[in-house]
This record gives sequence, C-alpha cells and structure tokens, in this order.
Amino acid sequence: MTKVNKPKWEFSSKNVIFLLLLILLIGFPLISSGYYILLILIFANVGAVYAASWDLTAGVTGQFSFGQVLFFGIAGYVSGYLNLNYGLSPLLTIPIGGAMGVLAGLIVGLPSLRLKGPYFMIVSLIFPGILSGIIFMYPELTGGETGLYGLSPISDNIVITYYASLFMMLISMFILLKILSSRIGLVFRSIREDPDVAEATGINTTKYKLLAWGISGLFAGIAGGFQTHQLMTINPFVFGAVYSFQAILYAIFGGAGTIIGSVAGSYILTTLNELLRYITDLRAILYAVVMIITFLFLPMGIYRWFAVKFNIELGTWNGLKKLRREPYDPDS
Amino acid sequence: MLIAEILISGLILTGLYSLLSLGFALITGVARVFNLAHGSLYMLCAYFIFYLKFMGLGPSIVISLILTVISGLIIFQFFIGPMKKKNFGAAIVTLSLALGIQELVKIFCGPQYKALPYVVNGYITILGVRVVYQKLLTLIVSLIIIVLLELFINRTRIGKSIRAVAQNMDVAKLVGINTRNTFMISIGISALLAGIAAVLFAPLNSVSPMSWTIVFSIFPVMVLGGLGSLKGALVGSVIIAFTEKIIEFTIGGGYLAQTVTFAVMLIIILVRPSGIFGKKIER
Repeated sequence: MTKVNKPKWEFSSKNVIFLLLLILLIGFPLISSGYYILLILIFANVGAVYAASWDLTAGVTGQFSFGQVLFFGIAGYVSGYLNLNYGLSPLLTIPIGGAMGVLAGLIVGLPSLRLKGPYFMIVSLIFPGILSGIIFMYPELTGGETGLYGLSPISDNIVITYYASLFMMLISMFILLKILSSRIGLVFRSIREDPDVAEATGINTTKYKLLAWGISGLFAGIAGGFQTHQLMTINPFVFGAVYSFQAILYAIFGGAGTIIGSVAGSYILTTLNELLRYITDLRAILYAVVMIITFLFLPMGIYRWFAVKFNIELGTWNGLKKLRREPYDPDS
Repeated sequence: MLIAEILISGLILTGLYSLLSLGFALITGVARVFNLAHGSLYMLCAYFIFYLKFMGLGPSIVISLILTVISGLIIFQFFIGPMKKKNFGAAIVTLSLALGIQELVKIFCGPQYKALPYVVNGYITILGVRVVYQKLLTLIVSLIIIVLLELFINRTRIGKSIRAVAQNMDVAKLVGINTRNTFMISIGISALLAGIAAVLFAPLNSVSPMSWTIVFSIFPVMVLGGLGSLKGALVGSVIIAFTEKIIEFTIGGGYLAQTVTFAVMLIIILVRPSGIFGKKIER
C-alpha cells in the first residue's frame, strides 16, 4: 500500500454526521438523565462492543461462529468470581475478564484453522454448551444454576456508568476501526475473500486468524465483564443460544464487515426492544422476525443501505466502493 | 441388570437419534444447508397430536403427520429456499425460525409441559427390566422406517434422483432431474421422519416449547457419521446413544453425558472432519 497524505479533517457529510452523533451521545445526560433511558443506552453501548467483536471475526475475517457468547460469558464469570471472592474492583476485573476472553478466543480459534464452513459452525455452536455443562458440574465455584450475584456495580451513579460505557464503546470502536483500516484489516479481509489466495501471497493466515480471534475475544470479554458488573449478577443461562444470537443480529442488521454498523444495529434494536417492553412475549419473536427479514431482504445491513439510499459518502473504510459495483453479501 | 438396562435404553435412544438424524442428514446432503428448525418440526408434530387427540388417536396422528410435512414444505419454500448455498445464512435463518416458533408456541400453548397419550399401553419385562410397550413399539417402528428409507433411497427412481442431487447438483440438473421437486420430496420425507419421531418419543418424555433443542443433541451424531451421510447417521446414532447411556448409568449425570459427547465430537471434528462415512469435503 502506498501512503497517501490525507488531511486530518475534512468537512464532508460523513464527518459531520459522525460528529453530530458523537456530540449527541456525549451530551445526552444533559437532555435527559432518567435512570431508565440511560440504562437502555448502556445496554446499547455494551451490545455494540459485543456485536462489533463478533463482526471482526465473522464479517471482516469470514470465520462465522455461533459461539461469541463463550467469550462474553467466560469474561463475565471470571470478573464476577474475582470481584466476589477477592474483592477486586471492576476497574481491574473487567480487563482481566478481557484477558480471559483473549485466551478463550485463541482456543476457539484453533479449530477454525482446520475447519471451514458448516464444520466450524457446529464446533462454535457446541463450545458454549460444553462450558455451561462445566459450570453446572462445579456449583461450589460457579454458583451453579443461580450463578454469581451481589457483585460490585460499575458505579452507583447511573450517569457515571453511562459515561463509562460510552467511553468503553468509543475506545473499542476507535481501536477496531483503526485495525480495520490498517494493513492488518486488509489481511483479515483478504482471508475472508479467499484464504488460499491470501496464503499464496505470503500471508501467514494461521497467525492472522488467531490474531482476529484474540482481538475478538478481548472486546467480547470486556463487554461481558462490563455487563456482569453493571447487572451485578451472572448466571449460566447467559450461555443460551439467544445471547450469541444477539451479537449476530446486531452486527448483521447493522451491516456485517463494517464494525461501525454494529453500533447502529445495537442502538436501533435495543431501542426497538425496549419500546416493546410491555409486550414481553413478543420480544423474542421480534428478534427472530428482524433476523429473518434482514437475512432475506437486507443482507447488506442498515449502514450500507443508508449510505447507498441517500448517496452519502460514509467513507471508504468499509468496502463501500465495492458495494457500488456489486451488492454486498456477508455469506457468499 | 445394569447391562440390560443400558442395552435397552440405548437401543431406544438409538431409534430416536436415527429417525431425527436421518431426516437432518437428508436435507444436509441434498440441499447442503443446515435446517436447525428440524427440531421445531418434531415439536410441532407433538403439539398437533396434543390438540387433535379429541378426534381419536389414529386420525390425530395421521393429520398431525400431514400438517408436519406441510410445515416442513413451508419452511423450505420460504426460509431455506432463498438461502440455498449459503451455509451460515440458512443456519441462522432456521435458528431464528426455531426461536420464533418456540415463542409462538409459548404464547398460544403455554410454557408448561404437555403429556401426550401413549400409542399402546402396558409393559413387558425383558431381562428383569420393565419396558413399556411404547418403547418397544418405538424400536420396531424405527427399524421398519430405517429399512423402508434405505429401500426408497436405493431402489426407487425418486431415491436415485435424491442421491444424484446430493452427489452433484449441477450434473443432476444436466441429466434432466427436476432439482426443485427433489428438494421438496426430501424435505417432505425429512419432516415426516421428524413427525414419526414425535409420535413415538414425545409421549415418553412429554413436550414443551423448548423441545426443539433436541436438534442440538443429534449434532454429535451427524459429526461422527459425517455430515449429509445417511449411513453415517445410523452408525453415529448407535455410537452416540450408547455412549450417552453408558455414562448416564455408570457415572451418572445428564449434564456430564452431554458434555462428554460434545467433547468427543470436538475431537472427532478436529481429527477427522469428514466423519466415518462422510464424503471428503473440502475444509
């Protein structure tokens, strides 16, 4: 890649839109500091990081997995356990949880080196199953069915918690987008397009696949640790299919392979989910319906759709130029 | 006594696994997609029987099976069909569908377990183990179905076309096989097998909106036998069913049995991804 000297800031529609959204998010507690509405936004922030972590391996690197919840859950359990038994503060346990996520990511990444397509999908589906089996087997350590509870919260003040989650989300997004636009991101995308060709051009695909899994595990782990402390509890049902599903849904709805799409997906769907709060029975159905519709009719995701529909140059970060030529399909 | 217990319950579990995994393997082999809503077909058939049992057991079973086949066709036509050749897309769409059906059933039928009537009542004592007639029937019917399916796939013209499509879809099209019809027939058979499994097994452990998760328990079977291989599905069912039962009766604990089979499956998939009978698929 030849380096082009780009101006640091340009007054384009893309930058203006992002700046306005950023200001809105930062200033939101000034508009409304209601507990409930901030709680929703906190969930949206955590969901965005979680979905983006899935997107890095699936959308960007092309390793579709069903088991993202594994990193989320492991990190949640580790940070919860450390907090409960050793009294470590969330500031310390969340990064440790993230580190455990990296470890879990590398373990899940190992089969992805050998397996492709359906085989890897099955393997990723059963990893959380194995883990929840282990958790039920050692109830004295993990709390069994009730899980761990009574953990320290991030902060007693909801506004501070909100800013903590926003900070986490922005930093994660910044790092992930930097990775995506760097040479590493290019390598990830080349592995998605054709691993064999990538290998032939002299890329060590083993190293880069594991790197992708490690990064993915880190951010999923951070999100898991944050969520655990924020809810002050974690139980084995976190390993259910629905939680993995959530990451996939947010990322695909937002736009797989764009990273930033996860934020859009997370904010839109979390809000939608809360609007339907009073018809609790319908929430899971809503997830299912949105997922099916997205996959059948909008596989490119809302972010790319928005960019094409209103002809806004949202940037070349995410292969948007390619989209102009041919419709993007995350799973071809 | 213990050995007899393991033998009998293992055989019966083999029946369940083989019926379900044969249907699953048929779709995987022919359409090359994962139908994770396969378990939903099993669950739906059980619910159909529960709500139609007022018209007598025989007619209710027949009508339920027909309804199940129709549901299978609908699922294929509208959800799997557009996703053909997209592994991940089809899997996630059918998984969403399964979750959606679960919630709908929860709303309309309630979350509690529903008991289904036995097809036959009474029990017999074999080798000192009490065996309900329903379980015996299960075993016999499973065997008959397996033999019939084997004959159908290997001896009839339609079976031949199914095998042809499974082997190579493009060439099958070239020699004039209507692949669409073949897909429809396969999904019909697949749904029918899931329905029969429900008729036989749902009375033994009742049915709830979560019953569709039974599809996850046949994954080890599929992996062991090789994805999309019918012969492999059978052999895999025997091995996995007996492994589970042996662990359950000697060491104890349902969680452990499941975890161990999952772990075994993980090792198999890493060492020999094509399974025992699977075609050498690129990985």
